[in-house]
Amino acid sequence: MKKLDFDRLFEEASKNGIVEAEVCLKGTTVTQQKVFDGKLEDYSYHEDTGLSLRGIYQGRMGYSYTEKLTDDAFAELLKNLMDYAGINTREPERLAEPPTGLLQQRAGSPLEKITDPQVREFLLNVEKRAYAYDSRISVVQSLSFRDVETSILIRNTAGVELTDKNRYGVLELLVTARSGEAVETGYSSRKLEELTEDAAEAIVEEACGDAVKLLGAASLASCACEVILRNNAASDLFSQMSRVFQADFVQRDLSRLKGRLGEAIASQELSIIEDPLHPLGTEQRTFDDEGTPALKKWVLKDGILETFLHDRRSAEKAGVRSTGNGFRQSHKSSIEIGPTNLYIEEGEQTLEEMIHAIEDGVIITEVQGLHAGVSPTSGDFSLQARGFLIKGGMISAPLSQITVGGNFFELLHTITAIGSDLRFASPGHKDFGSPSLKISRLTIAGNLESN
Amino acid sequence: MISKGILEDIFHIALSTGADFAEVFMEVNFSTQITTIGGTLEQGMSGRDYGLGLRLLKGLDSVYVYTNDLAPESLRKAARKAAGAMRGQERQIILNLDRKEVRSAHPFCKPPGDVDLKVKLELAKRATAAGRAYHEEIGQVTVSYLDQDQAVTIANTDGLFAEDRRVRTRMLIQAVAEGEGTLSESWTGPGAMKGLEFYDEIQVEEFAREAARGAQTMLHAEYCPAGVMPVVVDNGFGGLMFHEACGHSLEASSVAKGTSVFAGMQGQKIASDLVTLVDDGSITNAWGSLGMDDEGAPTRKNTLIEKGILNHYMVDRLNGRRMGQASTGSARRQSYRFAPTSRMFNTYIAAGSSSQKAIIEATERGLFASRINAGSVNPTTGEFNFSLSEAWLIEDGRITRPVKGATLIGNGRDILKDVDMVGDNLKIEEGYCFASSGALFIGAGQPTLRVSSMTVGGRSGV
Repeated sequence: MKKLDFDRLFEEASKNGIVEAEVCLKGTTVTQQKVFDGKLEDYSYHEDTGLSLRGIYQGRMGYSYTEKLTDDAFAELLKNLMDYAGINTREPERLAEPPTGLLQQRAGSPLEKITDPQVREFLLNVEKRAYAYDSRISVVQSLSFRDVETSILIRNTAGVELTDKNRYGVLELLVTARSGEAVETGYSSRKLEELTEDAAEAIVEEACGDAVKLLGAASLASCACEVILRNNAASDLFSQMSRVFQADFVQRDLSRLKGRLGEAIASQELSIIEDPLHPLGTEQRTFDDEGTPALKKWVLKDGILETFLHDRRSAEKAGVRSTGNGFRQSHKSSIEIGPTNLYIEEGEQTLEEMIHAIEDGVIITEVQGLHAGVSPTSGDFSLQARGFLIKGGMISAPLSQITVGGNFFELLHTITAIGSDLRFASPGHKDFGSPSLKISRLTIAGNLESN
Repeated sequence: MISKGILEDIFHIALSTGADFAEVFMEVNFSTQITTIGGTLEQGMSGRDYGLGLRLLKGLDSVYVYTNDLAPESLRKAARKAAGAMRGQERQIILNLDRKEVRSAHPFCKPPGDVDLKVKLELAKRATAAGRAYHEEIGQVTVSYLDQDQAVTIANTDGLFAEDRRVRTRMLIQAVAEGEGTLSESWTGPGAMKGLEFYDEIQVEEFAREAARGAQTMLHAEYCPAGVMPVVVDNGFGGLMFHEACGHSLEASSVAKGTSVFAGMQGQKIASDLVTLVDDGSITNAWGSLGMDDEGAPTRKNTLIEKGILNHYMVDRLNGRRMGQASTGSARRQSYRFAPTSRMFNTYIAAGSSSQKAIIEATERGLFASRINAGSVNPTTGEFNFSLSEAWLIEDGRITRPVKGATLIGNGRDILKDVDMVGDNLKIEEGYCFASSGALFIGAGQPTLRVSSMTVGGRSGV
């Protein structure tokens, strides 16, 4: 991170009548390599730092940001802050305070010891495995590994100085399978900290397995039936709905969970946890962007809604303590409520056991168009999907050109089994971890005439 | 913004290890984004984006490095980092960066930096008041106001040295209606490649009332029946359907490796005779336009499909190399944080000859998609989906009842062939597109048109 003269910035702020000020410096270093056709096709690298400033001017909080990290950017940064304070009518929130209690400690990442050429070798090996998986794998379209290191520094005029950093790797694979006229794709991504044979095998099995098994997929006649959402599909659906657990959406009347604390809002099988240091999650934080220590908590326990996610502002309004969920999405955002690693607690059944218990049903292995097909406000969803029919406890015909539809809040009550295969499906994005879920009834729409 | 001397240094280092081409994209952007809820400022801020991206090509290999530390020594370090990822002999070139071109083509009067933040807040308040006043069932009105003044310099080792200043603004107005134990929402998003004079030319209240009308209408809608039926898509942002269903599969980024459903089909008939699909980045002051594309080529009108025949793909430099085709001025990126690739600007179906009324009357039973929310596509299989924020049933040639929760799914290959009526009322509206080179400002448009058969995913009727 750069050495900026924050003391001078705070001094300038004070001269301008900004009585309290706080900087939040977010840094990201990413190295990404992509291979195609047996060689490195694309290499990218960046070191990126953004500075957010907030401070109290004439009794109101102002915000501003800059990516120009030189002392000559200070004047504009302060002017933007004062302009914002001039139109802000909200009660100012407090700046970060020294965290109470000790922050948790974490070990360094094994990625520190891995070199660029080792990553390249690993990717070439994955590509070979993908082509060897099945002769119908026609193209390994996209195969990449990115090594991401993020850092944060919060410093303010009250003497708080907090730093944290996190490092993780993400492997992504997209393949095409062809057989005659039939074309299908398969995709998988996962968080990795070590480049192991097991990881290579798992990602190839999922991406290539899906693509090959889906060849020849057809639609079906619309029906309502028992449905398994495989872990990645369940994770995608829940990630799109996670804002209903956020106190800001609740307080704005945009969450249907408003007023339901302490009530059973889901099947008693279902527990949802938020854990800022969950090993499978890409977020790893010991404090939030307001300096509140980040701790593991139950959002939903045995179907009962235990808490919403709070930052300081929403907590004050609700008369509770912040849950440590006040984050800036980037240096360009003010503090908003956000989850770190939200996930559904694992159950005991394997996916195979869940399938065996279904006479007539469908397993959904992929959903598409999440931003389009899910309405977090109403909970209604209708998502383009792919998957397989289940007949007599066995996977049968592949399905495409179908949609799976229902209402999220109703779905919560109709979860009848939870798998033992917890998975965070989109590492590095707004992620939600889920095992595979069995739902007693969802609508599957297809384009075939019913008999 | 960046001196010729530094550029020459960067390029010299960049080509020292075998790269055959190097390109610098530098950006200085002043941006404001504020969100109001119920007319009260909720979040946002103004600030400066600032950085430089350096791309190296060697045949089909690419390297991209970016930094927001623009001190000369840091830029040389970034160039060395990029060059370090290439293997080969130094390439000697004679650089001539003497002539700098200005390629800004979209006039503006009131640049965002000259307008007080209070004025921008007032716009959001006006929209909120109008939305709320529409109906007592309208609860929350959320407005996101955005503007940008992005100055871009692009230089490359072919001797290009060009600038473009991109001034744009937009409001996203979202209305929520409440009642009967449920919530529904709708949005409108007027925007343009203009300064704040844009708001002197439109009435933000009209857009707010339209969002409120949509939300209130859908509050009382029944669930859409699932099944296969003709779908009439209304003019305007309905064009997003073709953006998703066909546009992405015509981008060189999916065509070049042969993975697109439309790869290798240039000159062939892929659509109904009624379909002419255009992508135009040069429409004056349009939201999805640029003065030059993000590789420095002037933007232009590209006719992708002409009367059903696949005429041309959208091609950027790197994918063009793989395909053996020249750039069509179609390279875009969100910011210096992204390497450019082929993307859409303003994409629309050209006008036909039927009236909207005639199209509806000719449809005995079907779905009228009056507002599209959003969608996505798998360019390899051609499978697309999108959701409707407002839809109605067509019964006996008349629009009858609103229906909610509708999703349209299909395959880009089929839908192009199944267009059987095209209206005369072309309209282009404003939105965003998210793909590998980031979130971009796009226009999507069409006249009212009919697809003879589509799969509608809904919840009832089964």
